[in-house]
Amino acid sequence: MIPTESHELAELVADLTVVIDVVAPPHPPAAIEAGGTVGPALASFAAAWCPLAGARTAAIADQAVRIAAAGMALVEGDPVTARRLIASEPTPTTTA
Amino acid sequence: MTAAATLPDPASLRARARELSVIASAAERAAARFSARALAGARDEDAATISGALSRIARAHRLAVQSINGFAGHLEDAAQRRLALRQLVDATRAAPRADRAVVAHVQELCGELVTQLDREVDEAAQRYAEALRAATPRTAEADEVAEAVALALDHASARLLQLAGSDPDPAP
Repeated sequence: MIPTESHELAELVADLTVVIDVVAPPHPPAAIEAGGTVGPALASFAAAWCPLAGARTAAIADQAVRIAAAGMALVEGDPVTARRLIASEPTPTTTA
Repeated sequence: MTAAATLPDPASLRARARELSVIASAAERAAARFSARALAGARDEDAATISGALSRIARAHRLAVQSINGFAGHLEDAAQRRLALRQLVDATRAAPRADRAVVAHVQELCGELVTQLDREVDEAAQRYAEALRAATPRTAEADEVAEAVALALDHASARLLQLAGSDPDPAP
C-alpha cells in the first residue's frame, strides 16, 4: 500500500534530521571538558555550523521533528497523521 | 602551554569523533539522494544547491573526525610512553643493590623525556586544533549551508505531504 518512495523519503528525512542538529542544534555546542587547545577548537567548529538566530533555528528544528514524525507515520500507513504533522505551522516560539 | 593534566581523555575524544562521523554519513547519504534527484519534484538547481551544501557538511565533518581521532591516537601513544618511562624509573629504583647515582641519572633522563613528550603533545594539539579551524566554515558559508539544509527540509516536507495525500493506488 505504501509506495517505496515513502520509505526512501523516510530514510532521507531521518538523515536530514541528523544534519539539522548541525545547523539548528537543540543545545549549544560544548567544548570537550579539559580539552586544552583542541576542545575549544572543536566547540568553535560546531558553533560555526549553526549561524542562524534563535527563532529561525527553533523553527527549523521544530520542522525537522514534525517532518521526521510525519515520515514515520506515513511509513506506518497513517497518512492522516502525516498530513496533520506536516501541515501544522512551525512554532518558532513556544507558548506552553 | 597545555599541561598534561588539562588534556582530554582520548576515549571522550573518540566518542565525539563517532558522533561527528554519524553526522558526516547522514549528510553523505542525503547529498547522494539529492544528487541522484531521488527526491521527485526538487528542481535541478535546488537539488544541486542542497547536495552541494550537504557534501560540504560531510567533508568538513570527515576532516574533523580525522583530526580528533589523530589527536586521540597521539594522546594514547604519549600515555603509553609515559607509562613505560615511569615503569623504567620504578624498576631501576627497586633493583637490588641499585646505585643511587644511577637511579638519579635514570630519573633525570626520564624526566627530560616526559618533558619532551609533553612538548610533543602540545605541538600535536596545536596542529590538530589548526586542522579543526581549517574545517570550520566562515559565517557566510555556514549561512548558505544552513539555508540549503532548510530548503532540503522544505522539499522533503512537500513531497511527504504529496505522498500522504496521494491516491494509494496511483495511476501508472
